[in-house]
Amino acid sequence: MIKPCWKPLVEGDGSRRGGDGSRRWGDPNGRVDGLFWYKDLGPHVNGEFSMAVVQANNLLEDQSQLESGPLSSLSSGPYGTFVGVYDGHGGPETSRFVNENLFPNLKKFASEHQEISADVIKKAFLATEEEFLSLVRHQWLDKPQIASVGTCCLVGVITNGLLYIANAGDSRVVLGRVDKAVKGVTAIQLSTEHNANVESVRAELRLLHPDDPHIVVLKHKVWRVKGIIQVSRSIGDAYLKKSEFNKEPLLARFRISEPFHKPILSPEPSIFIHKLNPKDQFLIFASDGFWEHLSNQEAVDIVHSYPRQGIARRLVKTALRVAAKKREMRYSDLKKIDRGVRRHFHDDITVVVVFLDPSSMNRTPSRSSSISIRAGGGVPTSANS
Amino acid sequence: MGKIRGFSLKHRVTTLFRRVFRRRCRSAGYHLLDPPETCRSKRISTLISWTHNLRTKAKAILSNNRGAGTARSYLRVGQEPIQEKPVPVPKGHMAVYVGQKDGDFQRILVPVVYINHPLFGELLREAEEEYGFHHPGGITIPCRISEFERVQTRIKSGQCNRESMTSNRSYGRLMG
Repeated sequence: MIKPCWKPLVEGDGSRRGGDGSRRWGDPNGRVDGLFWYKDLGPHVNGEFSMAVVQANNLLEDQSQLESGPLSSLSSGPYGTFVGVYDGHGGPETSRFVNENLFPNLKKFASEHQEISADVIKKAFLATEEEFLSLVRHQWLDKPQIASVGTCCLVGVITNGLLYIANAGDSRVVLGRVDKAVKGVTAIQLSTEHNANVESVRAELRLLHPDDPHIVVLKHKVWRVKGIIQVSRSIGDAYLKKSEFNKEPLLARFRISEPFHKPILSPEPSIFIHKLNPKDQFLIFASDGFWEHLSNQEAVDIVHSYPRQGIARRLVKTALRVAAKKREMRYSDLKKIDRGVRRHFHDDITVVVVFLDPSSMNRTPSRSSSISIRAGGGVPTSANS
Repeated sequence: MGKIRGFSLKHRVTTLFRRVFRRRCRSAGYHLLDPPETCRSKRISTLISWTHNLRTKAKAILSNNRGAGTARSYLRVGQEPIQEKPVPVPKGHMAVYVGQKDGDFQRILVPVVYINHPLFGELLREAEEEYGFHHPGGITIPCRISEFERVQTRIKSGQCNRESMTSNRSYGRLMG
């Protein structure tokens, strides 16, 4: 038997300030309620945030983190907020690994370059990929199935009035921006998705693999790379990156039949840089398990119309209500379904809402206000727990 | 309010009577200068407008009822192409579709607690293999109705023991 997968780690004292602060931010570690984990509201150096996760898989494959404060080991900065959403597949190992290692790697490169840049973020992604592949190589004889585990990786970094979005896979971040013309908040999608159901992604794959007629295959009405996986970019999935992992002792059902000479999936993120504007109100980061039930605008409208406290949990619950309706049942009954079986109703869902407070954008925070929170992170488990 | 209503109704009734009476007189043939078609068409048009009013009012009442019905029953089931007659899903239940590829799919209401049962898990695995997780609409299980019913009976017979076991186990894992 295993100890809970739900043990968020919190460092720093930013969320433990006394008086009103602690009442407003509530439990600094977040809370567990059945298959839910949530942190209803917390501070970050550029505003406030709300996080929520619901588990569907037998082992939670979604991982996420929010780090706020220094983004390098230098006291001179840069400072800001880092958000990561890692939607694992085939198991939880890669998403957990990324949750542990991507941010330290980012800090390392940011210290070397003395700034955050698209180049620094890309280097952090590629270094994390390399480190994971060497872990796979290390465990290859004992635990070869680790070669078939991977994760999508969505990262947002807010620093110096700029927002960097880096994405490999099909998680999504949407910006809510005040629009006076419609007297509301409009949704602007900032991430580029790498899912074979997107026409341009299929075109890119066919262009990269002109000799392979089966590079994308329609299966169960869903396009999949090699008929196996929906995403075209990821960290991990060693057996689709290097031929040395597409053989025994990895079980045949995890392998692809034909040999390949160049990687089928890529770990390289699409990076987008956005100059933050006072009209930019909040960002919604979420795994695809959320976006398959709610549209960008529906999500933005909910965040705009309800209190900040518990907004991420509200979004997840709304998605679950939609999921229950699709399966012809009530939300109250969906809650009775065990993890694992839940996967037939919805995927793991992670939502991180980051509110942007314009007054704090150019303020340099002190080291003591650093925040580090992880949802569902940290505990290594075996597959049969 | 009551007064006004009463008055208007009375007014309408008397107008109607007067019209009918007048037309009857006319149709008796004393006013030969009035072409009979006009008379008839007038009468028909009144009849049409009256039935039209009746129909719109009836529709409004019916649609009101229907609206309230859907709101209360929470799940509308008319969307499924396989549906014959939609039955709202009662609390504690969900709808699954059982059948084989070429045959008809039957919509069956299953207690939600059955879904967690290992025997049902087998059926769900078959569903996943056949349709994947992204199957739109209700969960569809590719097996014969007779087989499905057998599984249901087996779950039902062993349910009392199972239920306490599964709930204990899941809490132990999640919270412990």
